[in-house]
Amino acid sequence: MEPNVKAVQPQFRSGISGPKPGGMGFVFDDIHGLIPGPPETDGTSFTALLELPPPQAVELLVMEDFPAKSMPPPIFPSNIALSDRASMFSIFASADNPPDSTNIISASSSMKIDSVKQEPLESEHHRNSSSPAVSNQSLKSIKRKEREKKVKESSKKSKKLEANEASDGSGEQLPYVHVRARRGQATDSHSLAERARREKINARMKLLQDLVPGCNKISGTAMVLDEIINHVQALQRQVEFLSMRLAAVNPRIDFNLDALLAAESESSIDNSYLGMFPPSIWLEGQLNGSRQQQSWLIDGVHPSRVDDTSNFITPDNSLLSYDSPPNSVSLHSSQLKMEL
Amino acid sequence: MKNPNTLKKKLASRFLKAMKKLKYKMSPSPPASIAEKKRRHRAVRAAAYASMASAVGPRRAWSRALLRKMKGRKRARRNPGNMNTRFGLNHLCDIVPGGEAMDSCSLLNETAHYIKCLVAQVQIMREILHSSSSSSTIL
Repeated sequence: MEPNVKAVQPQFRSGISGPKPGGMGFVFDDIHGLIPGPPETDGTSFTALLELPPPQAVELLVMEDFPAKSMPPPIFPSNIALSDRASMFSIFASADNPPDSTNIISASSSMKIDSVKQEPLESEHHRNSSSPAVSNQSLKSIKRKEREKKVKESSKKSKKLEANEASDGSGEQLPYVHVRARRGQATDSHSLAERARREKINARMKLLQDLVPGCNKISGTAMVLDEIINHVQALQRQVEFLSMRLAAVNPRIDFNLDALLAAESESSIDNSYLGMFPPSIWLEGQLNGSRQQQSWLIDGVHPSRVDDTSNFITPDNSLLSYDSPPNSVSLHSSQLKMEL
Repeated sequence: MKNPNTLKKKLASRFLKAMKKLKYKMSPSPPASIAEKKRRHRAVRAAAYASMASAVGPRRAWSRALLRKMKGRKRARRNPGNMNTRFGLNHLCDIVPGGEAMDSCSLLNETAHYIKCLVAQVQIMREILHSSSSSSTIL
């Protein structure tokens, strides 16, 4: 505490000495007026506190009616963000916490623990033994927060186990006993089950994100769900259009199974090829002339047609990689827009 | 997890069989009326979904729901109290067949499998079209 006081003191002096050199005595009078009574609840008075000799400042800090909640100690640079979070999670201000609050913020568990750790430090200073112990523990707790954050992010599944252990040991150890209590409340059967369910659902959502193209960049489950719904709807519309076209083409197609599948594999390999069509697929009716025209094309291009049917399995990879490039699909433009 | 290779082969074979069956019902000449065209279109679409569902079998909830729809039975609306756990999956359960009677977790599962099968089915249909149309177009 003492080196920090000395560090702040010159700043304070330099700030004051600018406008009013004679005003220093005025400030000191204010401070001396402050000594017997409780200090005011804004940051300036805290720095005024630091003007005092250290033991008196310690006394002030230790005093019972120290309104510590609204006093962010300026010594710790990370505290401002944490105190913001603490104000956000103002639910945690009271000691007895309703169990629902843990469920609401379960996703940001590490943040929660940070804020909760900060809160008891600020709000329960007066319960602690002494201010140096507080400052030391706050420094320690910040380090421990960071460590635990890393631990937590790496092992989410062991959170339950930690919570189980924590509930047993949620005794009076340190100022952040309330952190343990928060996690300990997860051993409530309802919240544990809900947490397990939510983790399952998040895992499934990740799988779906991999399945739907373009979902990896989106964050937030609502948008991902919208994307999934759009994708499924687009696929169903594609089935509609394709079935319409197939219905139009249908009387002319000979559904010879093996040859058709071989033809599909070939057509997927050589997309740009035209007329590399295996002759086993017939066109009934109108296009006899063109068929004759193509048959000699086929004979010229594919002498090894017989081998393709035996190598049926290997071209399947190209079937799978044939991921509907838009230029090769002769479908409606709206469908192309859907794909893109 | 279904290997995409085997899934596709299964879907393809079923679909082609169904289309063969359909072809005998259709008249070889192109249909004159719009109603006839609509009927054919609906028949092909039904064949697509039916072949998809039967290829998957009764193992999946969505395929069971589809088969129920095909056979004309009423939708089994057994709702085990899911509404409070939905988180905005309301639209999804309307789209995926049989989505109402599932809880969120299995709904997401079914959606994933449904998407896989839909993608495979679309690819098959497109390839059939290509193989038939590339022979017909003279370019």
